Amino acid sequence: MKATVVLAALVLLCACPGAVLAILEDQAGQYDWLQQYVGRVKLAQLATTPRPRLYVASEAGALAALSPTDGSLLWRKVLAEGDTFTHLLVLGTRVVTLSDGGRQLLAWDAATGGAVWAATVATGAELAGGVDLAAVGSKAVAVAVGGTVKAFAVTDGRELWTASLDGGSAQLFAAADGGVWAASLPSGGSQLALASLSADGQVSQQPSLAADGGQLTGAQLAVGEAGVAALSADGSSLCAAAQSALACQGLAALVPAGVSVAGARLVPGSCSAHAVLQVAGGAAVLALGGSSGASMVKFVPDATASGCFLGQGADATPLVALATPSTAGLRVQVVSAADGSSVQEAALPSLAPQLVTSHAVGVAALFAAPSSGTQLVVFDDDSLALVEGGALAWLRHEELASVTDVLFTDLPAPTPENEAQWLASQPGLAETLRAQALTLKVQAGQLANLALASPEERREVERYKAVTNDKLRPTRDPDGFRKQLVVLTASGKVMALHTGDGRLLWSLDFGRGAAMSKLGLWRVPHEVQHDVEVVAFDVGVAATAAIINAHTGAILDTLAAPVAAADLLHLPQAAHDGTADQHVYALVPAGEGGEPQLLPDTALGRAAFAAARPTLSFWRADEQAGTIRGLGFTESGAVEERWSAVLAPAGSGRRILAVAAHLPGETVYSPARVLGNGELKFKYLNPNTLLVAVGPPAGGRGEQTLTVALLDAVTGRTLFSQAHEGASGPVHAVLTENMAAYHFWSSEAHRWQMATVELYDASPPTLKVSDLAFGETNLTSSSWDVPPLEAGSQTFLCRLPVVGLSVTRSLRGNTAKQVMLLTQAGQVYLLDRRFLDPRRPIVPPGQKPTPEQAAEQLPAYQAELPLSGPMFATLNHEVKRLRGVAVEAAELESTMLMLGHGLDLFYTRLTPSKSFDMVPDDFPYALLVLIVVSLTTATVVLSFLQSKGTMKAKWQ
Amino acid sequence: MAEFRKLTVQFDSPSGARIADPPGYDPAAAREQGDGSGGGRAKLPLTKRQEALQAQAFAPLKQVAMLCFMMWMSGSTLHLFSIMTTLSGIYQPLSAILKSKDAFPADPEGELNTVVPRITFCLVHSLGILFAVWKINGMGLLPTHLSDWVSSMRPPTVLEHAVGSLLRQQ
Repeated sequence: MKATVVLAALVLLCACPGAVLAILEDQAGQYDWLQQYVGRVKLAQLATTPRPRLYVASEAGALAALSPTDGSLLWRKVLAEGDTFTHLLVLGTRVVTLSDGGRQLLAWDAATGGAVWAATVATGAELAGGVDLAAVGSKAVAVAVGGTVKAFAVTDGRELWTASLDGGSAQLFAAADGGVWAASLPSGGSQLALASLSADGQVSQQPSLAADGGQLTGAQLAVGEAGVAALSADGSSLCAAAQSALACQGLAALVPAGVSVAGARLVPGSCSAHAVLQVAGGAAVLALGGSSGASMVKFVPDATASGCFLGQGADATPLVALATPSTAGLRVQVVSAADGSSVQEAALPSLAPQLVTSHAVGVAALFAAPSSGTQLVVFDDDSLALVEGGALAWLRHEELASVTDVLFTDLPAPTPENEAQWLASQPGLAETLRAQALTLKVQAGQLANLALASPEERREVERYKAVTNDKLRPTRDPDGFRKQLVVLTASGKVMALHTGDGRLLWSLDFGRGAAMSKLGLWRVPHEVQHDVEVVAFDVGVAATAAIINAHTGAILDTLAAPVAAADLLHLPQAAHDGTADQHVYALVPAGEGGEPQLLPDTALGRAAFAAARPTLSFWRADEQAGTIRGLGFTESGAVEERWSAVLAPAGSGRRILAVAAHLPGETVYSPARVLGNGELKFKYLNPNTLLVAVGPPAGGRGEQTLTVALLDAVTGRTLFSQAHEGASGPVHAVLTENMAAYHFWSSEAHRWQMATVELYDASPPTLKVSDLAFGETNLTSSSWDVPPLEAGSQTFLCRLPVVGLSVTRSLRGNTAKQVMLLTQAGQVYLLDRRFLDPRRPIVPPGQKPTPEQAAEQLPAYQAELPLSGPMFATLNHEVKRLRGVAVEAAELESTMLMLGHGLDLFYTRLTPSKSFDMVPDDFPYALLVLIVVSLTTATVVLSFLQSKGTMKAKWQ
Repeated sequence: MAEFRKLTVQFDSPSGARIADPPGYDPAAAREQGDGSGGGRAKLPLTKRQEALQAQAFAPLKQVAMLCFMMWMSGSTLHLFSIMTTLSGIYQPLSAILKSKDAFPADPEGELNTVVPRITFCLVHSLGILFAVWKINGMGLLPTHLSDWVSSMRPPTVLEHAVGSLLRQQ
């Protein structure tokens, strides 16, 4: 009977659904999340018709529509790398933009973001004078290029009219009568040529305005029916007039005494008789006209102003919105430009971003919606806030669009306090019961294929699942799936995100001025209850390191090193001080002879450096000079050169295109590899290997030969070198174990190619089974004692253009390695290492691989690398402007965590060898319980029946 | 005639779940009578008994040959059948060797030589084990090759470290 039971259990277990390759519909978003951003906003317009929408264009070249209700991204278009929008105009159902330095006029559908029409408005030669865009009424836009103004219908891009102007390239301003003003500044003069264009393109030239002594070339202008203002190019004086001669006056005389007038600019607006002047010390609302040209209506110190706009009502009062940051909260006021009286005023204590120096974060720009009391605030740290009726509507952390460095750290260990906190945040009993009942309803509906649950109920179930999901717990888990992402942004912020859903845990703003350049681990305690510490390096004129508690976001210490560091080295071994692993960093000055500054510069740090010094070296690559140098430290600790190589001499047309090194701390499972015939091949494992690719840059002329060398960074010795004829940059490379893989452009094949090199130890085999079975093999390898090497290399065609390569890393290095291709489209493709193996057998078509070839389990050679949909780690998402990926091994060997960052953030879990060491999440636990219970019941019943039968037999 | 016995039922029987036999029920009576040779053997002369012992020692030869044949027939691929045959090919001779003392009990009178037949018996079964080991080797299950030890090899410790600057943009 026992055998029957076991067999039945086996049959039932085998019948259970196994792990599958693809993910199910309800698994989408379970392990991954995507956060989409636009970056630092530089142009914005708030539209109220046909629907309230917020259209923004960012410095990163993204154009997006945001919902004013919650700030969610409704649609987004991202330009090619390096391109950005210079003008943005919303007219009815169209968003019209100028991009590509003013060459490209594009119209987008305001509702969907679809491109409707495009026009090339300027060629390179015409761009010198600048291109300007203005609305002509509500149905057309006018573009001024050189001395010509062209008008296009917004609906279909039809060219309506062309007008020529005297006086060169013009700036355009919408006029109240539905036409435009065109103002041009002939170079080298103090004249302002002004023309009025009617809605149908009729030009009426106005008399030129002469500035009394002011130099107007390159000046910023504000033109309206009632007046003209021009801010001289050096920002020192303002010339203004009410349609007569321009009267100039110095800015210092205009604004209150003692206010800094640096960085003066005229904020573009739509009032005819008023202008807004923004200076470093505050914002001034000006009235144009009068004897002095302009007079100040109101000056608000430390404020950032929006452009002048017309308010609601028949009188259409000219209004200006002003935002003043302070540590108590942002103060937003709307003042009348006519008399300076305050129309609306509010303080927002909930919106008080602060720098680590306790100063308030400044406001970079303010955009106001005409007639709705809504203001969009762009802070200096790139964050974007919408203020509606004097209250904060939402805040978007746009600084996350410029992540420059990522560090994975552990979350705090579970403690009674944080567990209680988590439980308190969970839904109550009534809510739980209701959610369970709804879940049953939804599942029953799915089984019966009926819509039993309403969409609201489904959403409620989803909300409940999202809130109660274990992945959001604020503490670490034994499998290492829940971690914390500490990221550094280009705006100088250090932010911590939870890997569960990317929620912000804490943030520190060091400000743009602090050139925060790198994050690193500082102290990793041995006790799980203690907090992990990270360090953020600011390597400017004098280097500083901010030590941050990674669990609370508190700055524990700031270390200053009075040296300008050229290199920052991380010592390979952390120092142990009894309670924690202390990571030691060395700041190395440029050149030779200098002494490194240690962080921490304590006895422990110095001892760690002294221990590491004899075997420590580092390398510097100078792409401009085409050299690569290896350096070390003398006994006194001074930097000395050990070796150098000129790989791309100046004038050769060749450059160092890529230098790749091993990721520090890479774990290797085994140094040997089993071939198909059972023989062993020993990998040449040298973490000091450098890959240097030298060749013509992309589009470069000259000899199209790409030379790739593998160097030993300790000795400078060339381990392997090969050349590709007819190949050029860009080159992206990655090194892992004994393999180097690189991606380049083959100008000969007009295709992207990938090549791999694997290095093996070719010394005669001396190892025996008895050595391994009974002996202790304690091997060391030195760069000064390189064994004879055997290299295998192969080149493949690759269909994906990439912006970078990376490689997966697991805890023990046993999980299959996958090379990660970061594509230009913003996806991450996982390419199994076996496809890049130089040993892929060449099997003639129609033949089968030999048993030995089959035993090696390598796919047969094919010229082109495979491309398969399920191997995209980014699933169906795109991380626009993908810059890099960070991979961290979880505590389970099978799993690793990945964050791709660019304009967006994408996080997911990777399991290259599938989840071999864990039960899948969709494992039917209920079925298992059912089987166990029924088997137990059957055992009890059968033994009862058996004893009854025996009794009967004996008493017969 | 059997004596009249009082009917008693032992509820606290140490045999636990076992069902007590009804009174007067003799399980042995239900079974067939044994061969009764035990009594007859003693009557045979010593040489005959020694020969019988020797024959008993060689008796498993057929059984072992049969096992070997089955192992050979099952092939050297890893399948359920070949694994089961090979396992029984090891288990059966091994258990026979371990139980050889019961098969060749020492003669209480000391007249019979039970040691040599017992050793012979064990050797015959050892042949079976040897065949099974050869078979396991044929299946590639013995760690006799370097490639079987790949996972126990550790990568060499690197003596020098060359690091790159963290400030370098990758």
